Amino acid sequence: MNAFCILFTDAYNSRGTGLGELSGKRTVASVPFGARYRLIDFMLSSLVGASVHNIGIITKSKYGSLMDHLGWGKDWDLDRKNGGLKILTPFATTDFSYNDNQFEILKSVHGYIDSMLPEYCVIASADMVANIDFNKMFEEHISTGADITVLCTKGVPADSDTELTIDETGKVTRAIIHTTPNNEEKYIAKDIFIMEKSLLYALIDHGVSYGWRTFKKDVIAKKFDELNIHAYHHNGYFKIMEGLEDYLSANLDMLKKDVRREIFSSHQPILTRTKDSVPTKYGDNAKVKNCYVADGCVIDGEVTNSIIFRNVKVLAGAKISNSVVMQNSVIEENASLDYVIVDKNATITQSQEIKGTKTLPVVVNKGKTV
Amino acid sequence: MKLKKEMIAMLLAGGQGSRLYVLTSSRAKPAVPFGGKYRIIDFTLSNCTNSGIDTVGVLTQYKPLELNAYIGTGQPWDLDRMNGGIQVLPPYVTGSDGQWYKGTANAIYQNIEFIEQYCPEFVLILSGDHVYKMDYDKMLKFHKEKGADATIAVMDVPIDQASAFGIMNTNEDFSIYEFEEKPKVPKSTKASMGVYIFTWEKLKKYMIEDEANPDSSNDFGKNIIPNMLNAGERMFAYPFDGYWKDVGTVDNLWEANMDLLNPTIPLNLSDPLWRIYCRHSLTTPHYIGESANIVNSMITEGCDVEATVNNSILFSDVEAAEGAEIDYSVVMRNVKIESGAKVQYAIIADDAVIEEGAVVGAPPEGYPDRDKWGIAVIGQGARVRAGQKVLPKEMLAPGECR
Repeated sequence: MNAFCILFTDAYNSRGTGLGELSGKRTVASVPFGARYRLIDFMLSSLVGASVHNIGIITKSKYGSLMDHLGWGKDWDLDRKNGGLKILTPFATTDFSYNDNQFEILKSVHGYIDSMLPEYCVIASADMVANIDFNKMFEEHISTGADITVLCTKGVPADSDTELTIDETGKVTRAIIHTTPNNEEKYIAKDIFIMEKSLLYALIDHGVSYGWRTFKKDVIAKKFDELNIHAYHHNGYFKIMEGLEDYLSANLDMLKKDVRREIFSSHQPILTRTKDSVPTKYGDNAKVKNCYVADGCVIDGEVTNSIIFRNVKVLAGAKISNSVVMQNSVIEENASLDYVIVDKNATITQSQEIKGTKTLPVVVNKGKTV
Repeated sequence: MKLKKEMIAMLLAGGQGSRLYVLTSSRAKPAVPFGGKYRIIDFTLSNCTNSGIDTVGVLTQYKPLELNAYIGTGQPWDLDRMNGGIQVLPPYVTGSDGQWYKGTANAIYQNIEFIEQYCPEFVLILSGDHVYKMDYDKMLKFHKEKGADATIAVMDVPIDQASAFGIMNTNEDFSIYEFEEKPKVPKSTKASMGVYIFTWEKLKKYMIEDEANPDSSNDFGKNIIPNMLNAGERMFAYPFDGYWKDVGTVDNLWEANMDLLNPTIPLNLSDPLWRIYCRHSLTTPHYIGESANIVNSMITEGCDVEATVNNSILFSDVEAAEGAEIDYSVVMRNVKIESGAKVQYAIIADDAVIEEGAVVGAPPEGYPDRDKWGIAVIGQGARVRAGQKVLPKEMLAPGECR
């Protein structure tokens, strides 16, 4: 695929609180997911799977953990002599306050875009879990002769989603911002676009002059009648992390065989930073059912319906259900967790009981001892 | 121009490992998988990295394809260095004649040019057949303190096993006065671990002399070390205290794997200060299903387990279906164990398939003929068809179907 990518790593049109405490000290893109991944892995792996080897990562703030995760891009095979991974740090001057405006941000990375040789550009964001076939999306973009191809999914739109009406060829004939709640399934535009580099330049200039903010709302919703906008329908699993409820349920979705197979065991592997963890050890008292577990753990307690990250210790008598426990956390004897998201390096001491609900999971902050 | 190195390591990895039978019929012994995600050679290579050695020559000879691919650029062990790093050294032809490595010492002799590029003062000779964690830097310090020409790492073995090893008889200051290869009546319990540090100039001299002797078998244990002792060189035994195991037989390989499940055995793989590095396969976390029952076992990436697993080690991407039973077994990468299959006291090599209801191995307790009992071994890519049986101590060759 003859394209480069500009990848946004924060939510630019978030309608809610984002991922709350989980994204308090890191970008959404670097929020851990699925026992050993970070959210950005899904988009990077989809791009690399389609031979997009020039990826510029837009950063805004609190991107320390993201840079730590990405390194030089080696784990995604993006440590290239030409191109590869490039972290585009915010270019802020004293009179320039960084905002959530995609067009302002793109203008500030003009130099990177200028240096790109591929003819096409993918604009994408890294706040979702999906395994996307960009080759197919690109083929449709070329064969339909579209100016812009936008990825969409089918489902019941939520408030402020961009709802698309498309004709039988896939051309977008109408785009509106969803406001009235009903249960009708619609095509919903996502933050993933393909266009020619020359059109990107034109849109950046136009967007900056007219104070546009996002591609989805401004370009798609305002230009569908002027430009030939094609909707590429992504059929598979696709979940944007818009809140903790989404985050927990998407994690637990990985316990479903069909979802797990589609996301992780397709021809396009999800790549992530490798660490030298030992295999996970299950002790004499372990009782584990329906769990997705990374390496390096020592599990001697009861764990059901949960996602366990690397190097987690679950001591004898501890009970975990419907929860996500991140790297290096320790769940001590007889502690119990239900619908809890435990961030990295936390400790749940002996006999503590924490209980959230499916729609309101409890978060234990990074490094916290309960 | 290469920068000078104080010490470089030469790793003998050409061993055929014939006592591992079907497990080494398509790969060299150092490439044999171990402990869920490792290969045997990972221990020696990680020891080098953790001891601050950044130049390692790996001498290969027997079936090197898999080993070469595994070593690659050396990146997993942080041995992809600008100056030094890892280099695979197969035997080669010079002019009209060339030859295989005739013995351990000859293998080093043939690579004198490689060694001299780094002008080392000391050379560490290792073999890729052992599972242990050892700080070679401490051994080098000992070598220098003693002003030794050769230092041989030794460990205490039970006296009744001592006649299976090369035994060093030493004075109080650890200097060696006698070396006995597999003595019938051992005088001490200090067994050579096959880890040597030589002062390079001395080693070079003895290797050249040894090469000139047509009757020599060009071996460190049989020739070089006895010759140096006889000539009165300063030779010392460096005492090592820790876990060390030669995994050269099926029983030893199985036992060493089981040792990882035994909390009283001092082989800790998860020490953050002494990591064991390995080349990772690209795979996912592992999934433990609703019907799974897992006790005292090690399971790694990519596995999908619905079976009952006791006291076993599952390597990456193993699939074990509901109703299958795995006890006291070592199951290597990408093996498929179908429902109702029973695998006990067995080693199953990569890509093998154990079909529905098949039985591999059996526990020693209550086995009618104890002499005929042993670990059952299924070779790479072999297949045990539905309902078939593989008895204890039996072996299926790679790709064989039963």
